[in-house]
Amino acid sequence: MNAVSIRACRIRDKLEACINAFEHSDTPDRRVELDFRIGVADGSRVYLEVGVSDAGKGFDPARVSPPDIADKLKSSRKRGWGIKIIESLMDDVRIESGTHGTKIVMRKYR
Amino acid sequence: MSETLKVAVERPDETTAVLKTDGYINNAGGEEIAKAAYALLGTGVNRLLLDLEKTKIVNSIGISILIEILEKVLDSGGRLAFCRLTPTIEKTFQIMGLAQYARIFPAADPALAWLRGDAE
Repeated sequence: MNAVSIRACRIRDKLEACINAFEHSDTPDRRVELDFRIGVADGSRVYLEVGVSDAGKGFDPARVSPPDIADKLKSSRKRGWGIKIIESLMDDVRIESGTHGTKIVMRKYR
Repeated sequence: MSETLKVAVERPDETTAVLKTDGYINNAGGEEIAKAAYALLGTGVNRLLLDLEKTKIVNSIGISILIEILEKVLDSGGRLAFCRLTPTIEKTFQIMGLAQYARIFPAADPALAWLRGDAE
């Protein structure tokens, strides 16, 4: 993957996570925190890690049904693609969520 | 790529239109495309080509609006194609399964041929 496409994935997935945080968290302070980390895994695999956190109501990722295009075409609700897009474009995605809020950590290897 | 999405419309024939986008397809950008597309569908166009050469980012809200446009085109018995997508956008559309209902082409000419039924 070249530098441009890494940048495109990074920006897009960060945006998706922020959209989800603002839209679904019901966070009382309307704040979303971002943190960035560059690291090396297994001695040589350089990665960028982006964390998006909110202090909202949390959710159970296991209860989020994956979207299906055939259903979406027939449904009045076309939304619900954020997590699928993030998981598809990033190399690792970790979601920690509870009553204290949600943190999604997305990792992309160089 | 501009911050506010712009849409340029070309009409190669009576039933076909090309929408060239320039900018970020988010909520506002998607609505701009939908406005142009629905105006065209009301004038007899039912073959749409979305040329995204100057669009580098699409978010999930924008994608949901593109699905609405696709639904309306299919309901009218028409076809919708995309061309000149960035690799990331193309991968996203493939992952979503959008490519099952709308074809993706590297350039406009083969897309227009497919829309007209001249090529499969």
